[in-house]
Amino acid sequence: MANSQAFCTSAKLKALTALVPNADTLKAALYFATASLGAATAAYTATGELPNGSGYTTGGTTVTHASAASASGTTAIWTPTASFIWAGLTAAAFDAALLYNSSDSNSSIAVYNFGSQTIVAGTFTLTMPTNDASNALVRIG
Amino acid sequence: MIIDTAIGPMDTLVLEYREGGHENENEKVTWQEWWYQGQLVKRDAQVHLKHGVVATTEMGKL
Repeated sequence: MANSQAFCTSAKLKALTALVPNADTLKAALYFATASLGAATAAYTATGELPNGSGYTTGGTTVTHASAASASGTTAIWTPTASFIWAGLTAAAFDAALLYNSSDSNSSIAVYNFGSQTIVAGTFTLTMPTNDASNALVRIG
Repeated sequence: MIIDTAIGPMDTLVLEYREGGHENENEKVTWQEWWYQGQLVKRDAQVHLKHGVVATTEMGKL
């Protein structure tokens, strides 16, 4: 048996759990393709977000996360347990969702970019990836 | 079937229905559209994120 240098999986899980605590309210907000969200986005912003009305409430939708972060191999993983859904929505040319923690000063967690979407009096559904070490919505590997 | 559209509830019998989608390494998108006399009156879309984001850790060396 030999020793091996490593960032301990337990520490990764602790960090991810602190990022997405089960008791906190996490939210997902939608942004126009013209917005400038990215790694530098430190907190939720209304700039570039879809406007209030037409089936959208500024601040976004509450994320269902019944399951806590967990470990898959040496990777800490977390994925919401339900899709993000906006019903009765009318909006054009949006292509990003910001995941943030509204219980922690609206601090940003991640930005997800997808092909530009237009919804007319309809439902927009953002479905979640498989919660594993290769695909989970948030991973620390 | 009556559905809600941008111009109010309408019977799908009088609407033209279209559907489509695309898939790449990051997402799978499907959409459904209902048209009335050349006007898009309802559009749904589903975006399946295939992968989330990952933060990778790196160990320093002594």
